[in-house]
Amino acid sequence: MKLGQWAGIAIGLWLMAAPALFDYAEFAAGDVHRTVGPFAAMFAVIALWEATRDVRLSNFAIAGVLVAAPAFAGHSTAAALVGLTAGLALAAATPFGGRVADQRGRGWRGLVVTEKGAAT
Amino acid sequence: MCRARSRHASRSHVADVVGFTPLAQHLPATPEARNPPVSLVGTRAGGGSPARLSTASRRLGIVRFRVTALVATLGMTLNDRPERDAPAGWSYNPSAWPQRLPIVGLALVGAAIATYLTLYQLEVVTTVWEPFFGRGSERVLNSSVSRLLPVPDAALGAAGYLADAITGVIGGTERWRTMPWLVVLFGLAVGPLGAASIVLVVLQPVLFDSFCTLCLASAVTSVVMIGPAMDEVLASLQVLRRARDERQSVWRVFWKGSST
Repeated sequence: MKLGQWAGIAIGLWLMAAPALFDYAEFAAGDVHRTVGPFAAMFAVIALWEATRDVRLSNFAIAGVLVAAPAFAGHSTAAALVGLTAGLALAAATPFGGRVADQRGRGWRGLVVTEKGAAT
Repeated sequence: MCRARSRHASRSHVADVVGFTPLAQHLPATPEARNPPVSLVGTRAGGGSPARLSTASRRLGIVRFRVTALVATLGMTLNDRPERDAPAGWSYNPSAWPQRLPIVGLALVGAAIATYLTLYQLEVVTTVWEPFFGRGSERVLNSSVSRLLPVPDAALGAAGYLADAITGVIGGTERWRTMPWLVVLFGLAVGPLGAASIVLVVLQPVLFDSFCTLCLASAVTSVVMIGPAMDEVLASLQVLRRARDERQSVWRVFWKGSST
C-alpha cells in the first residue's frame, strides 16, 4: 500500500504550492514550507523501494519541524494551519510503509551489528 | 515500487520465453521445417513455382532462426542465471540487468534534460521550454547561483547523469562481489549527488520566487534513481563487511572483489 510514501509525496508537493496559494510566501513560514516540502517528497520517493524503505522515517523529523515552526518563525494564520495539519498528517501516515517481500541478507542493520554465525 | 513484480515478470518472461531451453526448441516451426519439401532437393514436381517457393521459405526460415538465436542470446545475457548470482541470503540479484538498465535509462533521460538546459545557459539555444511558470525557467537558469562555478550548473548535472549511466552499465551481473569499488562509486554518484539536486529545488522558490519545469523534472529523475540503486550498494557493502568479519583485507576486497 505504501500509504506513508504516497502521503509524503502529496504533502511535500502541497507544501511547495501552499505559500503561493494562501499568499504567505512573504512570511518565514513560506520559506520553511518550501524548504521542507521537497525533502518530505524526496524521502517518500526514495522509500518507495524496499531496500530503502526505512528512509521514510526521516519524515518524522520533517513533521516535527512543521509542527514546531509556528513557535519560532513568522506564520500567518493560514500558514500555521497548513503547517500543523501537514505535519500531523505526515506523522500519522509515515509508519505505514508497506510490506517488504524480498530478502536482502541481514540488510543495512547487518553492516553495523555483528551476530555470531549469521550470514552478512 | 513494483520492483518485485517487475523482476519476477522479467525473469519469467526471459526464462519462460527464451531463457534456458535448448536453442533447438526455438527453431522455426514452419511446415517446411517440420516436413522439408522435396523441392529443396529438386525432385518434387508440379504446384506453381516450387523452387521459388522453397527458396523463399528457406530464407524465411533462416531469418527466423537468426532472430530466434539473437533473442535467445540476448535473453540469456539479460537473465544470466539470476538465482545463482544472487548474494547469499538474498532472494534476487541486485546486479542483474533488469535491475540496472532502468536506472541507466533514467540517467540518460536526465542527461538529455540537463544537456538541453546547458545549451540554453551557454546561449546555444535562445529560449527554454517552460509550460507552467511563465518566465520562471529563465529567472532560475540565468540566476547568480547558476553561475557560481566556471561552468553552468546544468553542465554539472549532465556530467553527473553520464557518470550514473556509465557506472551503472559497466560490469557483469556479479559485480556486487567482483567490483565493489564500482558499485560503491555508482551508489555515490546516484545517491548523495542525486539528493543534492533537492537543494536546487529548494533554492528556486526561496531565492528566486520561481520554479523551472525542466529543472524540477531533472530533480525528480535524480531522486527516482536513488531507491532502486541502493540495493546493489547494500550487497557490495555486505561483501566488505563479511571480508572484515573473516579477517580478510577489506581494502583488497574493495578493489579486487571477492570470490564468494
